[in-house]
Amino acid sequence: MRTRLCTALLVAALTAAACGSAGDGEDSGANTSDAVTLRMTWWGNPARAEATQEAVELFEERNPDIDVEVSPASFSGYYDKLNTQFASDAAPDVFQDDQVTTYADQGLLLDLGEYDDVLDTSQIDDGFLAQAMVDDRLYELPAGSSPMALVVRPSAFDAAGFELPTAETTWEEFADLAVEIQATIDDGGWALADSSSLPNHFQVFLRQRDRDWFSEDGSSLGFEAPDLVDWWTYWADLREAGAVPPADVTVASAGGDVTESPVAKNQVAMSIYGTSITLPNDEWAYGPLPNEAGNPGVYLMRSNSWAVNAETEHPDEAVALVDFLVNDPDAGEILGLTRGVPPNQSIAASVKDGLDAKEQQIVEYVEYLSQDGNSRPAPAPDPAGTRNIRSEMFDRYSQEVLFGQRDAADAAEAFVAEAQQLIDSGH
Amino acid sequence: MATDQTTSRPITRRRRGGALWPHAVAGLCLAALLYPVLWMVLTSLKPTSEIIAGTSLLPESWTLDNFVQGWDGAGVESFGTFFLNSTIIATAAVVGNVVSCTLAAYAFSRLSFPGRAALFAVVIGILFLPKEVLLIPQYTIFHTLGWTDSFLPLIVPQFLALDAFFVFLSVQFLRGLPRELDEAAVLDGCGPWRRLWHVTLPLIRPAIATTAIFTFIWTWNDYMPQLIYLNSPENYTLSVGLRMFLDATSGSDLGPMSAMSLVSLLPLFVLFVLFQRRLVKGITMTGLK
Amino acid sequence: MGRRPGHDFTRSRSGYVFLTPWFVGVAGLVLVPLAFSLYLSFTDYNLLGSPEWVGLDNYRQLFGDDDRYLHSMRLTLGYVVVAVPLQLAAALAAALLLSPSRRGQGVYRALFYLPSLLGASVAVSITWRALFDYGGGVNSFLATFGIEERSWVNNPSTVLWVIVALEIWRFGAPMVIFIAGLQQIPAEVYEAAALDGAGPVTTFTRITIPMLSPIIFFNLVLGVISAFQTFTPAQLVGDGRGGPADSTLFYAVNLYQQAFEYQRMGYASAIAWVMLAVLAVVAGLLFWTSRRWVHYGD
Repeated sequence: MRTRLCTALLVAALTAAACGSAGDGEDSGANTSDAVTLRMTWWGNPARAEATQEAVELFEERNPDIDVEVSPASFSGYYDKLNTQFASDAAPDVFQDDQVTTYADQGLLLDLGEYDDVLDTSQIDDGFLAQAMVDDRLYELPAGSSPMALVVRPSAFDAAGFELPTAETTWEEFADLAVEIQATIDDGGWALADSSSLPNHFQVFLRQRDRDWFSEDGSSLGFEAPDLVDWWTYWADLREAGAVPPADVTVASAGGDVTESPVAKNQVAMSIYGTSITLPNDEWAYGPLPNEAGNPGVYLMRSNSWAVNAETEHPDEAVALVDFLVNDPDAGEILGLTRGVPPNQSIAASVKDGLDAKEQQIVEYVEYLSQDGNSRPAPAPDPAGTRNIRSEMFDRYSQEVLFGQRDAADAAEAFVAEAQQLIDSGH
Repeated sequence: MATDQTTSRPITRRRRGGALWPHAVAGLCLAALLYPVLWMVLTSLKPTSEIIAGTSLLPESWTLDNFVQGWDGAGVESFGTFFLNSTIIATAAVVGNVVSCTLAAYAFSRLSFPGRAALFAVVIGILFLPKEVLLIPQYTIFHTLGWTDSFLPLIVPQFLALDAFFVFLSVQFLRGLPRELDEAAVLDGCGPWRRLWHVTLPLIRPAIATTAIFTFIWTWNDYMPQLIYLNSPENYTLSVGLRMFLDATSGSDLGPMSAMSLVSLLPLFVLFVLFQRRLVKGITMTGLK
Repeated sequence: MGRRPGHDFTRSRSGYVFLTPWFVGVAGLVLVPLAFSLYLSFTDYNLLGSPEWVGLDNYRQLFGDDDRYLHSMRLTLGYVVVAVPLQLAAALAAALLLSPSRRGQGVYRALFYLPSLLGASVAVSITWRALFDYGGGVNSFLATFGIEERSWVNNPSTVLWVIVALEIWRFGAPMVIFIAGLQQIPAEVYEAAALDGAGPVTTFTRITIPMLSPIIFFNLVLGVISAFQTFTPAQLVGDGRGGPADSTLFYAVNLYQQAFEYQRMGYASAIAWVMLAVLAVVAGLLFWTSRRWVHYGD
């Protein structure tokens, strides 16, 4: 019996140790009777993590009764963990999200429209808000913009006397240009990064054809196998010409890890690139993708959004935190472009002065897109339960084509069939 | 060729004892085996510029910058926190496994009670049970208890003798020991607790040492459960922290990554130096009676 | 269950007291979850709603309609068939080299064992990936022979071999067991063989292997079971999602993906239960064949 008692004591002691290490701040907060604790998570790089934490600290300073526990995470595994937490009612109060329909359909998101006394959306463009709405209800607040851009390193052009591509450049001219530039580049570098497995890049290509990832009612894919064959073949030809990196370099950034992309690693002269994570050096210029003139495919895509858990015990405080992150000028200054250009127009304008040259370029590109005819309205949010089509599934089929394990036509047919199956099972 | 050596061992040991070729072969294999570790060490001591240039294996200028930079982690929590958390969890797991597995092994090998064989079959069954089958239901249970994002889901199972491997190991070890002492103690009127304390424990020390060392190492290296249960960076262990660090950085940060990999392996190196005989014996013990 | 003395001195119910923690653990954290996951395997359950009974649909889909699942099964079985024997061969060769007593053998044994100790860690897996990638130590070594740099981990036709190499690298544990086994073979047996004029090859195939067979069998069973569940290296040396192009879609990786990426908990439970069945069958087969080649001689 004594040993059993010992065991119990040990467990108790260890429990105390485990709790003790969880942070002393928690204890002091718990002692105040009316203190509120919010839990919050997001994914992103260290710069985003640091800025967000700093902004949250400012929020806590201004709201002494609210304590925010933050869990910065990396993108891989983010949704795995979040889903497991939802399943066991352990999900955080506030979280970063980019699949609004899936969660809204399951009733997991707080309807932010009902908190308009706490949340101010007047400074945010309707085009952004539309990307966070399901059935005309606002379930999330976009945290920043991440439209696709063509980033180029002007020095690679100047040396050989090439002109920078413009919105008028056709995809074919663009490919020819890449091949010509390649001839001037040494070993270990390439003219252009391979976009064949990147769903957001493919989307621009589709939208230029008046198609999209999904049909308007969300009941099917918005394109057909031949569109995909064209896309894959375009990049396969460039790969064969040596103007984009070989497959084993390209797949290092598969799955959307932008820090591993060839452009972030300085391996290429041009790349299609989102704008929510700033590139590590100053050499880059941001401009429109090929073939955008007249019938653009780019839209002011939100990088990701803030969502509030429908089951939160403190909806007012949680929404106040979201409002602070998006609308407070001081928070805006701290956060900078860590989630892309701020969606709040007055903050975007005021933040601009404090930015370095590279970041200003991004703001200017977004301003360019906002002008008439340079971009098109955003599509409706993706249908529920389809996240894996654009991420994991597209990646997988693209890789089979990349490595020549399957020919493009065959892979495209199979992709369309499997995607349709998943869409159907989601309804 | 090596066979020849084994075959002639008993007769020609002395004469061949000084032969050079076994040392040459062993040395060559060792160089290949330890190359990855060496590469990790040297990479951790190189400045980033040299790693990217990738010219030579040896650093041209040695630096500890990678350790400083890596220790700060992804700017969220330092590796000091991860290190401490791993230590707490591994130490608690050692205590739990030693206590609970010894108790269970004692019951299975030294006491007799109805259903013993069937219950021991359950131990063997758990030994072979893929953990994946239990993942989701266990998570639900721990959450209901309010234990997620704490160390409890990683520690408490160790106090419940669920590491069937160590129960099995200790039972095997005890079976190899004579029962006469136990029987004599029964005749002297000792109850099961006193027999455990005075007779079995002194004998079973090697098995306890093995359990302790291996529990520490395995818990230290454990990855999946820590990834699932620990949500806040201040609760992260080295396994989870290292992974986050890898995700959050670009390829040019190979230096800090190698440095922190090395730091995370340090306790294993220390254990290895201190207990290498016990480790080797422990492996043998599980394999042979 | 061990040998029992004629009169059972120790028979009592106090055994249950000692097993109390174990009972709690087995009931609460093994049997109940096991039953729950078996139930889930007959349901459609996405974590967020409540499970919906679908009968045998999950199992039917696994074997009739899921090429990726069958691919993961083939890949894993192939990996087991290749990696485990290679690792055991390396372990046996090293054991033969290191079992005779000689100066420095203790140091060699310990150092050969070291990778086995480190190899399961996250640190080694991520280092292994870097080692075989562009700029890694393997490429710089091969470059001295004029072999062109390439990424061994981002190539679907080589990444599996990189993981096999990691498995072989960790041959220390079975090696130590082999050494112990070799040392138990009596010297007289070898002496007798030498007198009969047996050469080294004959001695190895006729004496060493048969006398070592119980230990080979033990290592084989352990190796097969753990290799079948390979997860950490598959996830960290591969791209973390079974790629590139499904080349690291190990059984456990697929299971993890179905459960936590697709949130198909019912389906994943079915995958887990098939894993259990396959392991049982494989273990059964091994035991069955062992009667033909494993000699428990005295």
